[in-house]
Amino acid sequence: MRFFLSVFKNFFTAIPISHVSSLMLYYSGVEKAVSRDEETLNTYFSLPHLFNCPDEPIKHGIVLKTGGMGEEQESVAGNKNILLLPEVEREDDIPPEDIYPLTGILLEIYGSKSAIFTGIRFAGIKHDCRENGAVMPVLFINPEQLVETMVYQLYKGKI
Amino acid sequence: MVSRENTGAVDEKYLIFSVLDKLYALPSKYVGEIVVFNTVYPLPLMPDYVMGIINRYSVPYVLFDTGVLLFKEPAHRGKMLVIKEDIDRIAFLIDDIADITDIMKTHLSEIEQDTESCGIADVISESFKWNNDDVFVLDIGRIINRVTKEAAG
Repeated sequence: MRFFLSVFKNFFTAIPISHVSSLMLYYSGVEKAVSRDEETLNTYFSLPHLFNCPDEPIKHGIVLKTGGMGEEQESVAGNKNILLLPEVEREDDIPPEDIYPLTGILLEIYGSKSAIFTGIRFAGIKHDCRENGAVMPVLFINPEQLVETMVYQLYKGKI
Repeated sequence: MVSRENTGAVDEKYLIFSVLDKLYALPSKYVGEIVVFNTVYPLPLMPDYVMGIINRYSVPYVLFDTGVLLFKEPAHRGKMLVIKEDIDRIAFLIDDIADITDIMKTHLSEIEQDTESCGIADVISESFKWNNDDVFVLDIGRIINRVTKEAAG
């Protein structure tokens, strides 16, 4: 399965390409975890804000497919969900058997947010610019659950 | 002849260790390995008493900062006590190992759980005397309960 890998200070996030419509450069500032552009009706979800690291510079936006995974249902401009991320460094092919599901105590720690993550992986991912090329863990994201969770958190006033 | 088992005086092996110069213990049957403090990978959305995850043979284990868990003060980065995988993928940051010793059940004093606050009694269940010092037994079940409670809150 192919993923876009975005590099945070201490970890990568992996977004499955099957859920992605397009990748865009993002130059505007971001002040909130969730913001809506009233002109385009696009909704922007800032992962650095969700992860309590708002100082991570946002460089890319991942435009999610409107119908979730698989073929895009319709081709309309605007009204998209866009994940804002630090640099998307590369795309990578990672077999499902190399991804450890979140179990036990990790599920307890993340509680209701655990649905955001589909798994975790250590091996084989190096980031050359930080910590002398140290291996950093990869957190695999379920984009639909992420959007749902962030909207719920916003509704509850938690972000 | 009455066996020791029938009197409730069965020995259990405990691993005694120090955290911020105080003594704690775990039944040694729960302990998988003890390793020198190494790379910890912080993850987002973790409570303050979780330092992050550690890599044990490519499997992620959650590393608790036992000092923050008990006293809200970071522990020395000495060793990591890794719990057996069949219990949960948990490790505890500790100063050092003090001893491994047999303790009779009759020498254990129970500590009641504090239901109101997230204090020390939320994570320890028993204590015993060892070399004139008090040793507190960490209760992994209570620790997981506390994590669950805080995540729900």
